[in-house]
Amino acid sequence: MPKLKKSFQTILLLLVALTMVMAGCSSNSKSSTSEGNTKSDNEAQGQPQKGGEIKIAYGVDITNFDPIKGTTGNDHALLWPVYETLVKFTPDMKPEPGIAESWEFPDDKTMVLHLRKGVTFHDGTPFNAEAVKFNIERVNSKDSQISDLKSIESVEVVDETTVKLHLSKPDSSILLALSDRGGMMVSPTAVNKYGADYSQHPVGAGPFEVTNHIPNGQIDYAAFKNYWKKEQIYLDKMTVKIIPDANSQINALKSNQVDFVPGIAAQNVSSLKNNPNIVVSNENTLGLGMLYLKTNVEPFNNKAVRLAVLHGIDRQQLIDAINFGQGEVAAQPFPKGYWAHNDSINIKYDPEKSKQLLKDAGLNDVSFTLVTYPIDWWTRLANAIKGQLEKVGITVKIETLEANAAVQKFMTDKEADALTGNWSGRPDPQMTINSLYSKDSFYNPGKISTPDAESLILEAAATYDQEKRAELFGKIVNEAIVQEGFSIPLFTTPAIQAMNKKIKGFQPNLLGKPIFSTLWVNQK
Amino acid sequence: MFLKFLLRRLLYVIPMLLITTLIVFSLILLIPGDPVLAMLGDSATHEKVEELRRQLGLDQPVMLQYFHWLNNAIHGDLGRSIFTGQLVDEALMQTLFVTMQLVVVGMIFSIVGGLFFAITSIYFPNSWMDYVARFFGTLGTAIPNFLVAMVLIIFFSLKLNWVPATGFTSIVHEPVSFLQQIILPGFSLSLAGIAVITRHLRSSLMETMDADYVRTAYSKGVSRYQAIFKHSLQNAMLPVVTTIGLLFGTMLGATVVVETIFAIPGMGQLVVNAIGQRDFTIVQGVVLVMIVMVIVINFITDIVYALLDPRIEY
Repeated sequence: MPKLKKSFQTILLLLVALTMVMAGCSSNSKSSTSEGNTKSDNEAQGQPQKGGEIKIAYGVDITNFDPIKGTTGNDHALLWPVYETLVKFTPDMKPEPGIAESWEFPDDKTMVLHLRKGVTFHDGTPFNAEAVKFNIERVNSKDSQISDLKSIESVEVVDETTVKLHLSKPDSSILLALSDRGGMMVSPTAVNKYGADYSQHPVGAGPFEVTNHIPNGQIDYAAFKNYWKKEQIYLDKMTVKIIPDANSQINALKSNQVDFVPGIAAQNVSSLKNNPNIVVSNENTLGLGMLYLKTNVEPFNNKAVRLAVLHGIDRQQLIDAINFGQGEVAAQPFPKGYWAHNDSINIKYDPEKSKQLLKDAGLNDVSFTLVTYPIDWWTRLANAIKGQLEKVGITVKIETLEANAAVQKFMTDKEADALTGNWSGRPDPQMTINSLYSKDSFYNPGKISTPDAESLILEAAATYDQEKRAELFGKIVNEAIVQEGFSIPLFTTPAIQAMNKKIKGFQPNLLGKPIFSTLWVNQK
Repeated sequence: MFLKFLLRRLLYVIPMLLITTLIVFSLILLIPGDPVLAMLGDSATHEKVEELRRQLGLDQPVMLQYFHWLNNAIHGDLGRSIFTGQLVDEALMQTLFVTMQLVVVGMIFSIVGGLFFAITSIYFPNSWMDYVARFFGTLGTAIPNFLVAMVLIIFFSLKLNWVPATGFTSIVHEPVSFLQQIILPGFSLSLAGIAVITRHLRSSLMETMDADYVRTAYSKGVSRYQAIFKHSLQNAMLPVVTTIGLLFGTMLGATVVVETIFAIPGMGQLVVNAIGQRDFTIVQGVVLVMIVMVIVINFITDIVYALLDPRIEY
């Protein structure tokens, strides 16, 4: 028996030893390859190469493959490969032709679209004026969740490639609204064929077709052979893997199971940058970190309190502490360099002014409840704001609720005075202005407005000249934020994407939503 | 007699299903957050909210909603996901097979590991092997599976690069990558199982090793090896069968965490996502499947128990 016992223990020891040797071998081989790879790191983007496939990690699955059904901003990156939009946007968010080749506005309530010839949907259905009419009427139907195209009263088919949109009121945001969900063209044949099951069989005219979708698992895309601009599409296949956990996403990238990870958290940037196999793209976006206020109840029904909060927050300190210095302070929903940005709008951090405002209004012991989410980034933000506002004499009570519940509480419960949140940006500044500052918007739960703001918003909607629009947006923001404090902008949200260095061709845009179809793989 | 027992057990299942589905149905409606608001996002206007609520039948009383769901479920219609529009039974079929592969691997690891530790610790009493087994029996239940999972990923995937950090391939598609990808999640899932089986089997083996019939066997000159495997183990396994049956249910629950960390598209991820979105048709479907599975496994456990132990009468 003792002999057996001994041999058994020897085998175990041997096994352990073997494991260690193997561990040593494999880590050696790994370090030598990574050294070899650093040399080619400085190569330029180079000529795009055809072929290959890429794997993308994505945090959430698409809510619905039918563009009129889903609502979250995370869907766009997964919809764009499938659906071609009538209008497209440049990286700095100016309109450019999509499958509508050109357009004109004969008067401020009519828009004429000239469609591209030779475009077909994945199922072979030709894209034409009838298809546009079908789609826009579908977007404005009862089943749709899209409200961007509500100003379109009727759609008139002029000929095979010309459509006339009749608007019920002037709407200068209509052009870029057609680059959003509302402009995503679905195949009328497929909608009629599949009915309620359409979302399981999405058919668009975009560069990729969905070949397989495992909900919460993965989406497989294959290049569409008859895409109208197929020389500009390089990949044969794309696979999107749904990986909800941020650490798991980064692990998958580091161990080469995925090649591209959009939406990296600011705190992970420095560790990824140290990895020679990984390239990080970090760009400013139209997105904002914000404080939404309930302006129809105490204490935010008092303008002095709103302005005290506006000036009592040290935005740069928040950026340094929460976002590791990434992003810039925001006094308006439009970042520097964007055409609607207005240089003259600034909000100075001025705790003395805040105290004075409260004193002049005869207020002391001001307090409010701030609703936030049980995610460490958000609770850190809420606590930092709480600390800063304490210095000007405002007490903040933090209440942490799961996202869905938090939003509902803020919308319906009188006790929830403020909500931390992201504003995800919209293609057209008018859409942003409407959503954030118009009286009947979802993002304005207190329904606050001033006569000046209302008339300026209407005026901007009826103005089609870009320069005049920019000027009007400046005036609106000045009224809504600087004068009145409808809501509190904090900082711009950077869009951080990490990718394997063999992935090329990524073109960031100000909207911050990644476009996958321009990517290509360096196979050398 | 046995047949009667089977029938009686089957009859228990019906009220059990009714009560559990009703509880889950009410719980989903009790958690704060509104599926309609979650669906509409920022396009939510008052009219739209009311309209969608009516479309989904959410404006009706809870009991009525439940009976409506129940009636459809009995007729084999679990409805559609209120978010993606996918048929619930389709989503369940897709994910159930994935989760089952994970759970079966976890069960195999637990049973093999548990048997190994328990038997070695009895074979070499008070040796270092015994101490390792005892230590492991406590440690395995004390360490949460997500921590194990993360440590395993850091070491075996990122440092050593032996196995992928995330992902899943079905065994029917590519058995080799299935094995590579299932090892870490399977092990994270099984750690608690190994510990529980080790402790139960070890103490139950200790009892039977002291039993009279084993002493008699020794006196006849059988080796310790034979005493354990031929005489002691079969009797010692009896209480462990129950443990293994219960373990199945625990493991099914633990897949929720493990699937999230390893990005495995199974039922756990499906239900976590559905809870976040208040997609109650999906949640209800997953819960129904999980309950049925646990009931079936308990049922099988009882039968196995009866087969292993002829003394048991019904």
